[in-house]
Amino acid sequence: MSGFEARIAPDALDPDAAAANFRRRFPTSGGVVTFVGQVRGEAGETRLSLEHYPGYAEREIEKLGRAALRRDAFQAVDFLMDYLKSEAPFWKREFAGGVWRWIEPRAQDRIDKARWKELQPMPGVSENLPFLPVRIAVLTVSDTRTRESDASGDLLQQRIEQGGHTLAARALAPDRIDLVRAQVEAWIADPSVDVVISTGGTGLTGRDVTVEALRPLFEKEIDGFSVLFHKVSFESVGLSTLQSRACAGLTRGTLLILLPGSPGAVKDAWDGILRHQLDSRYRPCNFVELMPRLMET
Amino acid sequence: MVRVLFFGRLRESAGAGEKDLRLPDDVATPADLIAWLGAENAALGRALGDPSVKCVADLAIVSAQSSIRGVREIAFMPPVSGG
Repeated sequence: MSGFEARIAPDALDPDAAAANFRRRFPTSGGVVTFVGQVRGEAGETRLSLEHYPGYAEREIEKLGRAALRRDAFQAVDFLMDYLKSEAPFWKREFAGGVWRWIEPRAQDRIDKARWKELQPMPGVSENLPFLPVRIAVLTVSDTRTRESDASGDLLQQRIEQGGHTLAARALAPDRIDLVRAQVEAWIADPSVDVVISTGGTGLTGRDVTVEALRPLFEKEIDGFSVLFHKVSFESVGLSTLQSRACAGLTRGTLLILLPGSPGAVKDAWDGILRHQLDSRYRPCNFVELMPRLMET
Repeated sequence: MVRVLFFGRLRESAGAGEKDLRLPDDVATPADLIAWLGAENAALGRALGDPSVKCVADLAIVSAQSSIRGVREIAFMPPVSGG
């Protein structure tokens, strides 16, 4: 249970009485978190004068209170303090060393506030934008996998189709630079393929050559893909993500994405990154909306 | 009559926290009001014209170019400095 009440009073508030009163109002709550601010500095030497905009201040604080109530108690208090400092219409004057001076907002207060995304628009899928299906070719690179044992290829195909996209083609190639490159070059030349996703051959062993086969084709490397892949994959496999050289780039208007061979890594990459970035409704930016412009000169 | 409020350090530039003013007809926006007040008190005009100063008309934040005709209370707020 939670409650919000704001009071701005000209005389001293008794924080202990206020907290006791609050506990009486919510006797079945599991706990109460309180924050009590005090005037810093030597007793008797520092005075603080706080000015507010009556009517407007109460309204702004009500708004903050409603946003804070969507959080649990510890976070709500943290959130309120950061927003009160940077948003509520209060102006502070300090009397120290015999003079009054206005306290200016500090850069740190803005940084503290920026921690809270609450009152800022969230990135994500905007349902009122149109969904545009993307045509994706899947290449499994492996010496040992067959079509029957290709779990990562199956997983990609399933997610592509469930996501409303089109599987443009699917193939299997052994770990050989020439064969991998030839297959992908054929898809790059094919106007009915927008995106190529490969799985396998991004590791560090002598047989792992997908990166050697395809990276030379990149006209532009999308460095952030590696960064985000490792971030997402780190959540699943910890430091082991270091063993992968997953990367992405653009070649003649085709997006090439090189994923590891393990189904877990493919799942992380699709669910954590590609599902969103291949969705034309993802705001503020996604790959799909850029596709018509990739060949601009 | 319009009540104009000045908060924080702006109160000192204005010499008072609030003033009841009869605005001339050609004062239609906060920018006009700032120019009109600045003609009388140049230091106040400069302080109000600072881009960090927000204008609130009848308890809603307004831009410098929005209409303030018919508004009863206009407040000028310097950057807030915390509760």
